[in-house]
Amino acid sequence: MRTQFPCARLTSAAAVAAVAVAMLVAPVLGLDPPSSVAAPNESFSEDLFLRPLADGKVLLHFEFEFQRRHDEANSTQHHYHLFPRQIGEIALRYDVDELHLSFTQGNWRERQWGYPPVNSQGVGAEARARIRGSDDHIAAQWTGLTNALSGVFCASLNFIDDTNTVVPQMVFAESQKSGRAGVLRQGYLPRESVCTENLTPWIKQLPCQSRSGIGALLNPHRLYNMHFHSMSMSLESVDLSDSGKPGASALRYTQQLSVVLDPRAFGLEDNWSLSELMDTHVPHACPVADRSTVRVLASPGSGLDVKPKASSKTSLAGLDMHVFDMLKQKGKAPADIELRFNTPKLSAGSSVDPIQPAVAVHRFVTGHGGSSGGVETTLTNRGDKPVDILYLDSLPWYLRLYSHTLEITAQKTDDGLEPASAELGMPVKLTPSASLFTPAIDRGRPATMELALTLPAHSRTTLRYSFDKGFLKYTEHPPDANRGFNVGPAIVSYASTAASDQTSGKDHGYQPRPLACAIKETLHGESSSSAQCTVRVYSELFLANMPTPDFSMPYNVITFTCTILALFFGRIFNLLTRDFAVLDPVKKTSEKNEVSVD
Amino acid sequence: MKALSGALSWTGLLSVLLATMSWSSMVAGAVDGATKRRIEGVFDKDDHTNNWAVLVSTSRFWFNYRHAANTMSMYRTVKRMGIPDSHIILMLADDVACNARNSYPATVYDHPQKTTDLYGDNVEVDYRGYEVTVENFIRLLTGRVSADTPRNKRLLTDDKSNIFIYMTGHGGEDFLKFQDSEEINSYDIADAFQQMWEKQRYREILFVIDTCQANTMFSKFYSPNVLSIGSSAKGENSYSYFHDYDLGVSVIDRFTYYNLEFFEKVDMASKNTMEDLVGVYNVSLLRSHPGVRTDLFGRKLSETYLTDFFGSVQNIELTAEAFPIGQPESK
Repeated sequence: MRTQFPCARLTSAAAVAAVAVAMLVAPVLGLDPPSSVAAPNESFSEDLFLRPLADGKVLLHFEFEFQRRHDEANSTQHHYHLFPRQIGEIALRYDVDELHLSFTQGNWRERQWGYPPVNSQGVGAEARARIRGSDDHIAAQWTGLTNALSGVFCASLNFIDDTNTVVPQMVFAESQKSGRAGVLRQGYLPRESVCTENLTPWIKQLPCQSRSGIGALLNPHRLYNMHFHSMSMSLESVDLSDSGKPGASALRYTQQLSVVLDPRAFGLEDNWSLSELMDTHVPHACPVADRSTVRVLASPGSGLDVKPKASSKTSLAGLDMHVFDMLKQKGKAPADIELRFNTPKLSAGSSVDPIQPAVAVHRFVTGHGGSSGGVETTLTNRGDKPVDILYLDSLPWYLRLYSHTLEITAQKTDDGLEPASAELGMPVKLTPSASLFTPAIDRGRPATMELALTLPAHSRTTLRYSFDKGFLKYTEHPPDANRGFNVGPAIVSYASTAASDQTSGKDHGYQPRPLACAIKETLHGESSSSAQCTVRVYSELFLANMPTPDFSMPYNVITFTCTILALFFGRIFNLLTRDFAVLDPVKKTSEKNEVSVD
Repeated sequence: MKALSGALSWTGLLSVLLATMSWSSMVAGAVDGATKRRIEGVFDKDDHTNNWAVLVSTSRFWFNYRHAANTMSMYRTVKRMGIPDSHIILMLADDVACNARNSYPATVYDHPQKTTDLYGDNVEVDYRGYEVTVENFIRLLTGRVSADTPRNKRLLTDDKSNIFIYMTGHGGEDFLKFQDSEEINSYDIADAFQQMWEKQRYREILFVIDTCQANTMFSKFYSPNVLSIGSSAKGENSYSYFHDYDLGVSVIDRFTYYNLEFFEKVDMASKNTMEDLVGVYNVSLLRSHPGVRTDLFGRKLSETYLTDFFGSVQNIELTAEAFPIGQPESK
């Protein structure tokens, strides 16, 4: 008997059949069926933060977290239940202590939107990993890791090689806790796009995928119709102080997705619900989640009505937080969360967030022409106190950085934006308290500059340097050469404390706090006063226009040379080498006459 | 029946089942000769056991939207007919769905009415952007990829694989343009197929190409078991079909559109043959003469099911008798 089963259907049917057989056979043979509850050393939680922004757009921040305790007794067996096996095995295989990967599109407009919910807002793909071992070993493992991640996330991360890998010593060092070995490498691909093919494997790592839970709201048709999109995953070891065992460690894998959407683009005005915004059904909580919440953050006094009544109402970083516990809705039809805006419609782009971030970074390329240019970075400190920042900038090898042209001047301002008025004082030259320059090697590594600066309170610091454009071989240009090369962002990192976050010199009545820090603290139950949180701000990218060669020249040269050879060389050669002799016509006729006489 | 003490793991259960099987075969005596021959015949049957698809769009830039739409049409078709993502290598030279110029983000449409979103919610692109090069394509086919290449970027075929290879882009006589900067010519592909044959990397290949002068691309093949279909003859162009005034570009090519239209009416249980597919091509609608090359292909088109290439059909032999998979070594 020959039966044809389609491949896709066979797997699910076979799985069901196998389980059914197992359930029937196992009791007969006296065996216990495998445990169907979550392994006790793994946990999963999902949260969604929804925040209407000042200019009428909406910020959605999805956070999915897996925690997996290290099982000392069973350290050779790696059994994964909820924790995605792909990530666990990649981390194990490539000796990775800490891994961070993010895909971003769109610039974070910090004036209109305030603090970003994630620390990496750099456009493109950023991969960062701390790998253990010797230098050669780390180099090999880094290549293997980027290739493996490119396969998992359907991205061309395999383009990360020595020419775009940076080894920052100062900027990401806060994650190097004591006893943690390994060198941190960061690869940046500013030209990498993000689309549904990156979201598909990312969703497949969630235990409930996009069938239930907060993951059911991940509709790519809405997520990519956006003003800002950042999808990231990070893997790190954490110490659990509440486990009862001192020094117990766990592996934490966090998947974060932040999007800024404009409801007006979807035809929604003042009153819309979450399912209308995402164009999905209202989800139930994921059954294996320990915690499943939707939290609506509203600026106090913004006139926002949230329905239905929240499970609890607290505050987060100066914003009112309405918490909806999805797990409590088990067994009932899940309630859709509706928002109604009572304030008059705001015109797009005119409004500014009441809480401006303390530190802002904007970077621009200057100059014109194909031989040289410059970079100018504006670092704004809106805080009441000076802030110690670490600044990381890197240029690809073909933009030859001249470190002697580096100039840093600070200018006091009213609110960090207005041009200086006379009573604010003259610009002051700033000297970095520490600096680390790694010069570029042609086709080997990029140029890196790390500086430790102290930005004065209420100031705008301008950092300038020049570069020359190097010459690229014609094979090194990308297929769309006339576009130019994207250059990765500058990264500023600083420690957020109560003092540094205060920005307006007056007491708001609440403590402004970077949103990324506040979210992390509220989800992990830490208190804001004790924890020191590192905030990172990324600048924009810029396009470096390199002089492009005429790509048709090899063809032209071949055609021209061949034409010359074919047409002219032959003729000239004949003209030069043939000997021309003139024949005497008289002698010839007499010979003829002699013949005819006979 | 021996009494078995409870083992608390599935490996225990499996070993118990195997023991039971071998025990019962010992009790029943040798397996019936006819059954043994029949079961062994399944393993000796000369048929494909797995299906792969390699779908390539070689064009960059927004105005070549239709080439990405062509490839996504084939991707959709092949997935609908049953080939899983793990057996599909999708190569898109440019990001069209999430391109900043796309006023319908995360979608690829084949018709101005926008009834079918070819991109969908579940798509895995294996080679994208600058990775789609002639070198990577030939390395993929011949299997000479670097050691770090992840599994989903390798063509893990064997001698019983049927491969469907689809290419689209801008082409000409004996060449196909990759990313507006390099070309692959028909001799390269022919040699790659011959290398695959020598290394037993395929059983049969269906090569479909939708470019201008497409039939020239398969004119130089010389390896056995290759069936080729091209959209236009030498000296002819292949034409695009619909122009979408919202997106501002042509959204699909005629040849691929008519293929897609045919496949939308077909599902994975279909008994349609390649002859039905080829019979659908209408020269006046296509405005070009599609070509089919069958001299290298061992079977008749009317005997070749569509699912042999587009689907992933598993042949299953059901039997009630036990069959020893391997004899234990007697020491």
